[in-house]
Order: sequence, then C-alpha cells, then structure tokens
Amino acid sequence: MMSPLKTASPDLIVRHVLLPKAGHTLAECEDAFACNRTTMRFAVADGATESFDSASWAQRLATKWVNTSGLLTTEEFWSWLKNEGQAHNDSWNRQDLPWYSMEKRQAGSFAAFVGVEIQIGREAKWKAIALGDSCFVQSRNGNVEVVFPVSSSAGFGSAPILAPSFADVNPHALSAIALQSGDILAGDRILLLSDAIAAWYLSSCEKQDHKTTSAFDDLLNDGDEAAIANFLELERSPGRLKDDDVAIVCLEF
Amino acid sequence: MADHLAALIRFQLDSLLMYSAQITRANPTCIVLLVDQSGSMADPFSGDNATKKADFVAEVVNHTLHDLVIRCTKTEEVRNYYHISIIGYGRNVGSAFGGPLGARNLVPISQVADYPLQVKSSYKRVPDGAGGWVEIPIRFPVWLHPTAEGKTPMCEALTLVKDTLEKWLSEHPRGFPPTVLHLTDGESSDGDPDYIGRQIVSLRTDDGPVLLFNCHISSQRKRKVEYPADESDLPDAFARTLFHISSPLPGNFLAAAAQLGVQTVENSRGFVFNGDPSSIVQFYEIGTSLTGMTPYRWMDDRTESA
Repeated sequence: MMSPLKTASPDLIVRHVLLPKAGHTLAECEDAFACNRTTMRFAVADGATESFDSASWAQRLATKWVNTSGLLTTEEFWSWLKNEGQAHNDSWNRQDLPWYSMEKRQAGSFAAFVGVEIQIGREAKWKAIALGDSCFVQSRNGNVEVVFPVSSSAGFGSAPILAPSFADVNPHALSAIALQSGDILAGDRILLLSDAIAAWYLSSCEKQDHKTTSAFDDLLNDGDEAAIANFLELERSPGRLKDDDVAIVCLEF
Repeated sequence: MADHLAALIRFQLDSLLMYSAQITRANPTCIVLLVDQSGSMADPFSGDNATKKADFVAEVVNHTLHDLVIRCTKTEEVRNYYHISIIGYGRNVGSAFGGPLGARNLVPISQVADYPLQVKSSYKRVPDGAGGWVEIPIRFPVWLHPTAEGKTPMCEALTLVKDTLEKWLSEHPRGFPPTVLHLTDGESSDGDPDYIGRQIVSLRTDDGPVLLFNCHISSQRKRKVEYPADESDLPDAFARTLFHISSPLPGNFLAAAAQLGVQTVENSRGFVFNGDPSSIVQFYEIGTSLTGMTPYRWMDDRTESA
C-alpha cells in the first residue's frame, strides 16, 4: 500500500511515504509527492476529495514544481499555477462527459501544496512555498523549530484556501500563498506532510508525547515501509490520526 | 445517586459520539425525501400566483438531488455514499422516481445520477477574474415533476418510510443513520402520525437513531416557527404532533444551519411550521448537511442564472 522508500546520497537522505485511506488502494490516493535531487526540490500536494480530479491535480502540482526552477515568489507561483491549471482543465475539455462530471469540472480542482528547495553548500539553506494546509516542519536536536503555513494542530479542520485549477475565479487564493526560508545545520530534519499526518504530528509534539514522536521518528529513520504503515494504522484506529490519505517527504541532513 | 450520575454522563458521552460515523461506500447512509403531493399543493406559493407549492418543492428536491450527486462525483464516477428514496403521497403513496428507476423505493446515488427524467440546460454568469462576467453552461437534471392530487395520507406514507428503512437498516446496521426529510402543507387525512413517527425515530444504526425532520409549509403569511427547542411557540395540536416526531438537530446540522444564517439553539429540533419558500430551501440544505459537508449554495447560483 506504500510507495518504496528511497535512500539518497550521503549528504542528504530522502525518504517518502504515501498511504491511502483505510480500505482504499494506492490508486485512489489523492495525496502526492515528488522529489528531484537534481533541482533539490521536494513537494507534497493533497488533492481535495470533494473537487474534480483532485488526484491528478495534486500530482501535477508536485511533479511540475520539483522539475522546474524559480517559482519561489508569490507572483511567479501564481502565474505558474494559472498555466498549470489551464493545462489541467483543458485535459478534461471533452463533450462526452456525463452531466455530473461536466458540472463538477466547472468548479475546478483544488489541492494543498507545499514545496521546498534546498541549497546545499557551505551554508545550507531552504526556501519553501505553501498554499493550503500541507505543512513544512523543520526539527533540530529533536525539537520542532519551524512549522508553516499551519502553526499548530488547532489550525487544522477549518476549510483552508487551496491551490485552484481555475485561479482566475479564485483570486483570494493569491493572498494565501505562504513563503518562508531558513538555514540548515547537520542533523536537521525537514518534513513535508499532508494535513492529517501534520495535525497528528503537531498534536503529539504539543502534548509532549515523546513516546509517540520518537517511535515515528525511529520508523522514519529505519525506512521500514511496512512498519510505518502498521504504526499509522494503529494510530488511525482509535481516531488519534484522522483516516485520510498520508503523504510524507522526510529530508535528513 | 452515583449510578444515576454515571448513567447521565454515559448518555451525554453517547450523544457526543452519535452522528459521527464517516460516510463511505462500505458504510453508506440513506436519505429519504418524503413529499406531500396532495391536492392542496396546487395552491399558489410565495405571493406569486404563477408558482404553486408543488412547483417550488419539485424544484428544490431536484436541486437537492443535483447537489447530492455532485458531492459524490469523483471525476467520471459517482460513488455510492448515499442511497436515495423519494416517496410521494397524495392520490397515491409510493416511490416518486420515474423512468428507468421506476417504482423503486431506494436507489444508489450513482443510479440516481444516471437516470434523471430529463436534463435541462441553461447558462450561469460567473466572475471572470478580471472584473467582468462570463457565461458558462449549467445543467438541471429533473427527477421529480410537480404533482398535486388527492388527500394527505401521511400515516400510510410514514409507514412506507418505516418499512423501507427497516429493510435498509437490516443490510446496513453500521454507519451514519438514515435521514428522513418530510415536507407537508397540511394535516394528515388518515390519522395521527405520532405513533408511526415515533416508530421511525426508534430505528437506529450503531451511530444513532434515524433522523426525522419535518417541514410544514403554508401559502398564508402566518407566523413561521423554525427549529424550535420547545413547544411554547407552536400554534396548535398538529404543530405539536409534528414537533414531537422531529429529531433534535445533531451538532453537524446545527453548524450547517449557522453557516446558512439560520438561528438555532442546542436542542433545536429539525422542524419548521408555516414555512415559506426560503424555509424549504434551508430545510433541505440543513437536512442534507450530514457530516458537515458545506451546503451547496444553489440559490446563489440560481440568482446568477442567465
């Protein structure tokens, strides 16, 4: 049910997890991730379940963003989003769709997005951009140092402003684009998380539930995909982790 | 005393946990639209003599079904999160579905989507993002045509609802309980609906009792009572009977009401008396909000229709 975990170069270890809702197949998963070690860009996107063809919109956003450069200003990102939205919408410009698909398509597709570009050098740095409630989390010495664009577990649950495929008719999304940057030290860890796993992780940190967060950290470090899946299933069953798709990209420096 | 307190706490906890089941294809829910189609539904409505009550109700029911289908649409597929029933009562009592859906009392939402009686087309004006407007095509599927004939055999209709739900619940004992949205413009012509109404709300899944919401509408501009928590404002015995067989609104439905600007309190019942056209629209929007999905604002869309 999970994609394979990857181990990268000695400088940076990249791991990723994709887990569908309980009882669903990976093909039904509406979360997506993408990693490109050439551009050093990594992204997670979370398609809105109730919107049209959200899975491929999320996958498009993540894949296209990591395979390009720039797009780390609000203006550039918005312009890029319009173009990608146009291409996505045009892919469904068919007349043989049933009436309900035509109706749904007109509202467009929506996804949360978070992407980070890493600059490795004498002074390693990161720049990240987000729209929606997929999260960037940077940890140092076991402590969470940076969380954005949602800053605490209480920030989840309301209807977030997401990346729309019809950007022109959703202009309010422009002001919801969040940008942040910072430095990286050896031993730091960056997580890109879709909303459910982000809410769970931040809640565990806020409650200082070291047992849970340590177990999760250890499993990520081990890279045992079956063990991570089992662990998250156990967290789902009592409702601690919302039964939603899960996408994780983990960068270890 | 301690036992009583423990029971009270257990009841409160149970109440909090009810109506929280996730609606999935494995655990779908059931929505029954019970519609009065008696002769009095041919009376004018909303001060506009050209529009009959039956016309307006049919339009709202069709928009409600449109909304439910769209919610379940995943790209080119409609997922069966809901099983739908439309039961009409007037000259006849039975399924109000027509065409290929025939006289079936319960239909998975994917089949509702595929078999409307017709699909009308129109245009809607939407902002173009550059300060102007653009017209886009929209489609209005029709499942229910206006009907207004005969008496008001409410008890027979509620009995059919009970029988339909009992069968459905035997196959779907888990998950979000069925919701019955009952709309009427008059008193029952075949007896007191209290007993059969109470039987319906005694049915349940493991997530809580069946929800029965009642909306009484009136052509006359009488004072309307919406979502009361007690009987003090109700004008007569019939209103009190409908109140007694109306379920309290669970939290998700209260939130949907608040989103629509409808005033409710914690123990508000799903009940409207002497409702006007806006009451009907809100009643169906609140009644189909289920686990807190955003009500589809079709009235807003309609006002922008070309």
